[in-house]
Amino acid sequence: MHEFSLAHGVIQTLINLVKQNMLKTIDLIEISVGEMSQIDIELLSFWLRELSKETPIKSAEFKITVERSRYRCRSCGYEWSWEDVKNSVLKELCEEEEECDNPIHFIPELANVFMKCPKCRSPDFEIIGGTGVKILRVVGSR
Amino acid sequence: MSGPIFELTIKDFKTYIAEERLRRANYVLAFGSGKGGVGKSFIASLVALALRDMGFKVGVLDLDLHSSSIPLMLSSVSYEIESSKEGFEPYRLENLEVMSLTYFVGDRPVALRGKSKDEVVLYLLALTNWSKLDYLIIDLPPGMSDEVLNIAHYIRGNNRGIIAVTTPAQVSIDVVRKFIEVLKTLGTKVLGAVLNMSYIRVDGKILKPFGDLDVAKVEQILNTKVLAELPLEPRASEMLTSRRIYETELGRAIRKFVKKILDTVSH
Repeated sequence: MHEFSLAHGVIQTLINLVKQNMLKTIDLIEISVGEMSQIDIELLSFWLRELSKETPIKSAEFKITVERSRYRCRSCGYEWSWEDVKNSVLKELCEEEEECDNPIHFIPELANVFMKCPKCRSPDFEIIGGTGVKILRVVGSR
Repeated sequence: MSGPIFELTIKDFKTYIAEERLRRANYVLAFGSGKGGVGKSFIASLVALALRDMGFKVGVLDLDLHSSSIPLMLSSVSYEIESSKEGFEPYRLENLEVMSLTYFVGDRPVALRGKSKDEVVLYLLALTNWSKLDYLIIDLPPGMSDEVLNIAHYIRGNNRGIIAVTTPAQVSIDVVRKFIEVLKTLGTKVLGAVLNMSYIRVDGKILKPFGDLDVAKVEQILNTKVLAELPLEPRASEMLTSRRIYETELGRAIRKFVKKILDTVSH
């Protein structure tokens, strides 16, 4: 359901963009999704297509790429990836289930509240890539 | 494709949606200070409850990420965030809706830096599924850093305003003066100030533990009207969510304050 609300937000923004810039069509929308957000890409894609029907962006192509999530500890300089810690983080957040609606899925920037540096256990780390959903590029014509 | 090709990079889509979500409230009223410990969250909670008790539909958005106290004050600390197709569902009880980061993180400490805090605030602004509200009360974080400056941009325009909270202590008034000055230069409408913990009545005598500044003098320093002077009420926190608060001097002062707010926002 989070995928629906994100898709809805993206579509509403694009519709406003069409009006504000007096575009005739939007042809291509490039979107990146941070892997730590655990967004179901197929589901996001489905809702983007569904919600764009009967709108000025109905014929746009959505190109979604997944951005790898990486982190750098501000205390010791260690760098790691979401892949390195995903299983242990999700085990703590989702317990018996493999996946679940969890705070990092809702707001990826909450990672610092739920994760620590694997080396020195500091919560003070920088997210250096791959957080939430971003519209990278919109190509249209007037 | 037909016609000239147009390529755009746009800022975060959540900034567009945040504006739409705030428009679900007829009036957005923020409480801020620049200074911590002046009772800002307490006053925001009292005002929200008083408006609710007067029959208005009220939302409360707790944007004090690090020292969130709104959920405790409004008896919702055990609520865990729920998500629907429309976004994050606020805690709801009797015409009062509340959204706070506490509902996502529980009692974990929140140690976040600037950019991450900005994003968290933006998510709460953009994805909270408010009903149609008469008033949305926003409890701002203390200080004048990134998140306060970012939020200030959303409290500009019609049907939006901010009330500054201070105690009568000189050190508080000085910080709040600067806070008000910054907000005004950002184009944020400052409706006035409230003097909290202004006095306490003990055995019929009025004592002023934080100093005895003349209201006219405070208005001159802050360059804004003082909308209310609120007393210290030792029993207030245990009575906050019960209507017994209105039996106290603080409760009566809050009712007067809220009527002043309603009068101010309607002009």
